[in-house]
Amino acid sequence: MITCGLDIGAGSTKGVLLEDGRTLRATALVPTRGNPNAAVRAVLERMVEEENLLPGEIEYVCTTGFGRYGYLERDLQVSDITASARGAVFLFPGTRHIVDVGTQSSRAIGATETGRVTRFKMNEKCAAGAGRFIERCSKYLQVPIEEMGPKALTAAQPKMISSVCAVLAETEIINNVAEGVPIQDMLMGIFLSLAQRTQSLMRYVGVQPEVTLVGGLVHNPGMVRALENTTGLNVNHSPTAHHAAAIGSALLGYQRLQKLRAAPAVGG
Amino acid sequence: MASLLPVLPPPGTPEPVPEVEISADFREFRALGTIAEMVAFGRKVIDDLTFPTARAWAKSGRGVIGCFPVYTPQELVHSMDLLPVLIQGGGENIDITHADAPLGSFLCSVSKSTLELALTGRLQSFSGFVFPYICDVSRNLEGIFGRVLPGRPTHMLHLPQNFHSAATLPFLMAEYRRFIAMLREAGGRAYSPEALTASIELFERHRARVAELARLKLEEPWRLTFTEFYVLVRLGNLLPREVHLELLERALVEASGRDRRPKDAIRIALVGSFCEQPTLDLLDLLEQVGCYVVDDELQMQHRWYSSVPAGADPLERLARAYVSSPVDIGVRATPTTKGEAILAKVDRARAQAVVFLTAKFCEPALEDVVLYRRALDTRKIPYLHLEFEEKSTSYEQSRLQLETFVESILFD
Repeated sequence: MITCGLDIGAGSTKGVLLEDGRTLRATALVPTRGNPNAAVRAVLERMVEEENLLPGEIEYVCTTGFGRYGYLERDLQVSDITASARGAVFLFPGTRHIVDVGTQSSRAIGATETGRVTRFKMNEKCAAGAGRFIERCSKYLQVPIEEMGPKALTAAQPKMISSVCAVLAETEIINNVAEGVPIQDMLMGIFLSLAQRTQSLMRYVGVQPEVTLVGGLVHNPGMVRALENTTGLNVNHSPTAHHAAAIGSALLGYQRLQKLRAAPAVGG
Repeated sequence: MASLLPVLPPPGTPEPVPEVEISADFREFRALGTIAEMVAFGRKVIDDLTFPTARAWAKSGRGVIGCFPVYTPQELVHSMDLLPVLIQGGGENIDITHADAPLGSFLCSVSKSTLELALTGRLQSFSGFVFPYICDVSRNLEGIFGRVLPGRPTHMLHLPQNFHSAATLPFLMAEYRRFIAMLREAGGRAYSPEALTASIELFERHRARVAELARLKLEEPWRLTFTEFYVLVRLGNLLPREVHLELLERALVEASGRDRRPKDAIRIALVGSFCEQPTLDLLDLLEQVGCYVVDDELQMQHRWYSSVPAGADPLERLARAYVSSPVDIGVRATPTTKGEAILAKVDRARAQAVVFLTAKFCEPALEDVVLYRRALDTRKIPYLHLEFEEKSTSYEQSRLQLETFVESILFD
């Protein structure tokens, strides 16, 4: 039984195929580029081709992310908080606390051993607490995103960003550039500032080990280090955790499909 | 004290254009046959900030009393041949261009939009205003109204917060007598115990119908949506009770007979929106994401007490009803029982969870949330806290939080 999870995010669209709710068969990721439908098509085509599947072999599609309602062929949609928690516990079964720094917003999520969300808190307003801020810093400092993390690890005296507003934080960074602060110190300062804002969300939820980082920043060793230094905890992470929300939705799709098969729905 | 005249619109400013016109005998409401018709027309009436029902009543030369939330003894207003109309701000349909001058930044939207209504000539059909002292903002609003609308009496109604003192009842009755004097000044006919007794009886019948509708929403929430329930009940705070009573009776017959399939939704108690009202879009969202709202605090005026106790003096009966009310919301100071109150509410409603929907900067509501949360934690009852403003336009964050909350209960 193959279920598909699609995480249609603002920055990228991720897809996974899950077999019998246990085995990860395929993953795919494409930039959303403002066209979620095209991104979903590309993700599905890539996974179907990779696994040599017939279209009908995907028995259930569950979507998540900001574009979750946009894919009309879905069977079910769930919020990315619900999905990320399920996915994180699937990847790291000891997970009780999930940190998701997404493009548009960051979230701290408490979860049970089954991945059920117990409490959550998200930054609601300011981009300074979200991944978009890192993208903007990459642009201002002219350091490609994939190089930001490794460079930050070489910082000797991280230069923290004190502003809580993304626009003012960018001004602060420009001032640091003018003052000749080494680039690696600025980069680590950016990650530490983001980690501190994330920590305030985590405190609201109640920090409980194990902590798992999900979303695009799992590829960024600078952010992982900043989060570990700030919280004093080991932070689970892996490249696959970028797909945690897609995995979670595929899992919930599998649960739902099993229920439907056990007791077929009646009427509309 | 500085003059408020500079904030008034300059001479020549065009008057707000009414969108809904209602006859003096309210026949338009008697023609509404189905709930869908009532809700569609009701939404137009609620959205028209020139208060079409107040204008309709005033056509016969009688006075209209604007009542700020939460509770006013409206039976008293009715008995003096005045129409009580609840003024709950301007919702999302008004821009604040004048009220920011006398009111500071970190205040609730409802205070500003209510003042904006006054400053932009939308309350012309009102002959007086009453402000129950529910918070410091409401207290100040009464004073400001007195200055910006000279010639229209305003009244601050002091409702007791100590319900166990021997002085409570005499105090409240004295307050009601003071209120009667203001109603006379606003054009009401002379107070008569007989007229008040008749008004109490009418309001009792009306309250019973509202309670019946609320019971239906509690027992079989799939029979009418929360938005339908809300609009139907809110209309009662704009219409003469006699007209609304007929409307409710027709709505009850239709709603009870509806053949609708119950959804796989969770039962929630909605707490905290007793004064400023969330937008209809936000209320819609609650059920869209999979909640049945089976208990709420949105239109408490009709639900402050279930019945008025018997007695010889109708003024005393009315005062007793208020004092003995079991209502325990943010504007009643009972900190020691807040925890018990929220747990009792959850039990009564058989709610699986609580959603706190509080207006930004609403101190009475926000203070209670702390006490409520502590009590809910002891019984591991899930809750979610959302803040709103009248002028909210995007609900994506609220939707995400609500969906996650519902899914955390639905999926084990």
